[in-house]
Amino acid sequence: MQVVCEEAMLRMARRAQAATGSKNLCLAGGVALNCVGNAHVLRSKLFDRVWVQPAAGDAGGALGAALWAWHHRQDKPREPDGERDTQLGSLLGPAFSDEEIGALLKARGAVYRRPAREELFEETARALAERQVVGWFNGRMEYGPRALGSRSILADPRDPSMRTRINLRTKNREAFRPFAPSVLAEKANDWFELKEPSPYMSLTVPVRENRRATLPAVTHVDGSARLQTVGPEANPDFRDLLREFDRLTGCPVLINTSFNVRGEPIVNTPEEAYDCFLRTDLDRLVLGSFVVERKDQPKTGEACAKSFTPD
Amino acid sequence: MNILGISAFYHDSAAALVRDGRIIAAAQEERFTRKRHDEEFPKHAIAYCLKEGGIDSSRLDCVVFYDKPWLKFERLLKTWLAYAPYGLRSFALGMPVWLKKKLWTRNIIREQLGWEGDLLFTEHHESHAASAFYPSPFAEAAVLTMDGVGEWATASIGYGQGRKLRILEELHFPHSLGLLYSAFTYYTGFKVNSGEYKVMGLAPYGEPKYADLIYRHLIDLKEDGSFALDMKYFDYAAGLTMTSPAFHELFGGPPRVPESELT
Repeated sequence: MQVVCEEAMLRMARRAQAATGSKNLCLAGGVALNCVGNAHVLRSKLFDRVWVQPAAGDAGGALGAALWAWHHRQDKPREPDGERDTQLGSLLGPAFSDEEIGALLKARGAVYRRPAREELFEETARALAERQVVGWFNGRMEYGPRALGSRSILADPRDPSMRTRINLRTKNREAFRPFAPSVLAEKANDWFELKEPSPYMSLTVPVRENRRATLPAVTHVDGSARLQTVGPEANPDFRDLLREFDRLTGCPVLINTSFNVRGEPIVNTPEEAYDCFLRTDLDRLVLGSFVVERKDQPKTGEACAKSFTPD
Repeated sequence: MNILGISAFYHDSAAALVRDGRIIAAAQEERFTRKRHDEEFPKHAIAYCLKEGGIDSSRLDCVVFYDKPWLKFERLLKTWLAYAPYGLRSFALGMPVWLKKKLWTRNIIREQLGWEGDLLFTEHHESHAASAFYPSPFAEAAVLTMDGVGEWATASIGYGQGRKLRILEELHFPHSLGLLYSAFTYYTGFKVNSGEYKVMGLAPYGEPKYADLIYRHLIDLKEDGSFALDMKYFDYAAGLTMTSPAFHELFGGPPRVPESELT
């Protein structure tokens, strides 16, 4: 089915090229979440550049409808600069202040610390390199189905056992499900074969052959990975963490999977993140400027009242 | 100028606030209600967007809904008539939500928001196309949208240039790449509208040994990317499931039981 889907996408893309004569392609609709198919279209070289709406499914229709009213109906100009999109890294949801987070942790009786900024990144990177699985909650929530470094579970992609551990133990889902890597944009090309940035995980790319053995947890059976490239603009904190991990390990790549368990939507509030931490085996939770470590917590018998049906 | 965009009543309700062309906020309702793919009217997401923008609904200039419920309803009726009386059960099951909710989208929005101003409805694929083109870095671009189904369109080709976006061609229900993919998602025992991702993830574990069978029987894929599905293999147009007995016979068995071992 997947190859049929790719072929149909490719033929439609060819038709779109013929009908418009353009060298740029924009994609949306639920089928555009098929990152393998998108990559197929990009590789065909029908178009020089491809941009995929990160909220490609029906949720993205809300944004499209509003933008359509402004530009098309109100006839207001756009000012595209040819380089950057205006989606702001798709970090368009709620953010929470350190005051709010601190108050929550205190109220819940959590054992937590608030290290200085550099220390926070340094110790989180070190924990990741020591194979800890980290819940990372930072800044504005993502719009669209992918976690892009604001509501993410992060781990070391060099550890082959991570896929099974996070799938089965942390997220309680099928063991086969591959994980996506996030990589520092400027180093992406050393590790992956890609022609243009993929800030929204909407494309799969081949992992470079000589890197596959180093990245077992994010390399799919066919040698591909659904990549997020992390550039300087959208999410500076996530980027700094990647840099710190790179400095410590020589690897500018992290596993980045959504901060939720199977059947649950991605966490939105610090409280949901904390609850998720309590009922999973995450080793560490970074909530804004705060760190909550599993080993410091009193015996965690506190189960979350809510349970989610599998998706 | 503050414009609020809303999608709702199908899957993944959401809201977005755009001010003078800049995206101020956008979020899915599921994140607030903790119900995955929540399709209810996105009142929490709307409340958040307004709060982020520092306004209440009285300061909006325009509200836009992402599809045209009446056109969708017409598709439903016409499809039902074409298959009648076969689809009676699915028709009877689907009708109440249309009569109580979807056809009253206009009233629901007005009531929930206390909104008496400008209220627009874009077409489903127009909304998708706009979401793809307007935030993109391109001054002009081909715009391709593909999904399950909106009103009638299941895929569209458009051209965006500057501030204008024109839809040039459409493919219509029941011929849908999204629904074809969902049919296989259903057949392989995953949840439609969310398990497609797992099917894609599993694909490289296997070999495309059914591709020929799919081309020969299910889909007549033309050189130009348009296609027709042979509807005797599918049940989604009028029935309650995605695939029909003919489909199960073609692939040698009933759908996989969800959560059973993958073979």
